[in-house]
Amino acid sequence: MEIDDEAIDAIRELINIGVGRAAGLLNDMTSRKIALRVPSVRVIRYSDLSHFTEFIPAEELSTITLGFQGPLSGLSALVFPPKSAASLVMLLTGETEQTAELDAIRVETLKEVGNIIINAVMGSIANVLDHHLTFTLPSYQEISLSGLARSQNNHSEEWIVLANTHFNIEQTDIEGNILLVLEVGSMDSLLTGIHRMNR
Amino acid sequence: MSEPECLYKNWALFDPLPVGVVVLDREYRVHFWNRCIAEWTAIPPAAIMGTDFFERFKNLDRHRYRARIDQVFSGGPAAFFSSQFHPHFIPSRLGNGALRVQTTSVVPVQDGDRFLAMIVIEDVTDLVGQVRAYREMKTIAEKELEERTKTQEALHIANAKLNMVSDITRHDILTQITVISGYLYLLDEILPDDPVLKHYVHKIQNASKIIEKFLVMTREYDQFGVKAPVWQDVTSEVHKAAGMILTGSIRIEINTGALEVFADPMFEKVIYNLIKNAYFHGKKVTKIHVDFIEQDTHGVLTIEDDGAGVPPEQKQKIFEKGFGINIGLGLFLSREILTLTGITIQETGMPGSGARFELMIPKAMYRLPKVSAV
Repeated sequence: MEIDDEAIDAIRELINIGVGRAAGLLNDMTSRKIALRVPSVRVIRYSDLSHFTEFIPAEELSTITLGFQGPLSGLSALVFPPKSAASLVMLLTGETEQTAELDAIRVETLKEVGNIIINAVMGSIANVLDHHLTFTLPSYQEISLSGLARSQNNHSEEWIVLANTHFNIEQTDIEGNILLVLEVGSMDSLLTGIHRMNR
Repeated sequence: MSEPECLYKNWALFDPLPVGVVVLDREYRVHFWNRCIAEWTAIPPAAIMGTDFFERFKNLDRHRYRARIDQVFSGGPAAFFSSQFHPHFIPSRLGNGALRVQTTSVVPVQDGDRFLAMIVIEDVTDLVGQVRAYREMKTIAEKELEERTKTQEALHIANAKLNMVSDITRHDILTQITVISGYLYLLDEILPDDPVLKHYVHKIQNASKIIEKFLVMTREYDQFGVKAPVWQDVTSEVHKAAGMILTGSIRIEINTGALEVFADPMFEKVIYNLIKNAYFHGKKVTKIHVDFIEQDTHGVLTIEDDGAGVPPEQKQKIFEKGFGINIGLGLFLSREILTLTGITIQETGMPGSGARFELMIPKAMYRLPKVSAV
């Protein structure tokens, strides 16, 4: 199966709708001016993952994950380098400590931020599907992107959607990634849903 | 059985849990209110079952909560509310009157063809208190470290300037002493053969020689305490000093293994002084023995000779400033150099059988690296 540019644009559009909603909620919740945007989306087959090392940092990242099952099965995640994750939380909460460190409280806060963004993105994606999805509880872990992708079934037919995400909070930019690991057959369901919506 | 009572029975499984559990239906009516949340809020289940949740907790009746809880009613993913953004989701007080700090999850629960929202609230007051205390301690430590670094930098600069000034001063004084010595020599030559005058000239010559020795000594020790302590290999320091001082008639035995001592870089001067003292003051020394033993709280490095030894009344005085035949700073400064890293020194030899200097080294200030076999 080939994923054409039109399909990638549609996936980016769905993710952008989700992050737009999430930004609205975060604005309301924190009373801070937050802009979220997804400038680029890459759709990679699991078997080609090793060819995209320049987009996939090797180090362990702060990751909030959510598993889902149904016509679309897999895992969605929001990932940041740990320092960026701590800075993001501190910007959102207005903390002014000298060093950005992810302690237990900040991990919880990051989990909520990730929960809002991933839920909004998954809500946007679920809207184009005919069927209901079931979700796991959100969880936090420190793991590399490739490790996270490998944590699924590792089938060469799996697809990985990597959406570069920019947070602009009070004129400070923080970069992260939204990752969708789609199990075999899930990309077909998503594309079918997108085509149905476009008709 | 009334409808609320019937609903309560279905959820009673969650009553014994140590977390607050509340179940809402799509109309935000309370379906279940467990024992824990009832205790926390002092609201009994009978008083809240079937009532409008947002009517009761107006702090939650906002878009930011409704939007996320509505997604749960549609069977969407769980919503998580952190303690930092929502510390008092359902406000409740602790025994000391303070508000309980909470983290909250809202989870979809399928009930036939509809979804209910189960709110699970954890009390994280203690955890948050501990993390905040840790943060405060960390902030204080960081500030202290910053202050200390600034002070160290300032001290380093001041030390460098002082050294420069003392270098220049020492150089100028030595020049003037050379001039004085020259004129004294000339004066000695041209003075009439008067023993009284000659005696005074020699006294002045001796005094200027002592001043010169002091100045040379200050040049040798001007790096004392300036540089950070370093690990130093005892065997190589002893060999270096022995090579500079000893003649072939004195045998040196070293039994310290791979011992390294963490000391001021001038530690080499201490070893040099101890070996020089044995050579110059031991009179009949034929052997110098260097040994090391470990004890409970410290290690003991000994430098022992078989010379004349130190008379009992001088065992303390030899470490005092000004004691001795020369300018009397060698052992005094040696003790000061060792003190910088907590090392003490004492003389414990038997008078007549030889001098024995014991260096008591704290555990953290020595190490015995394993020497790999070739």
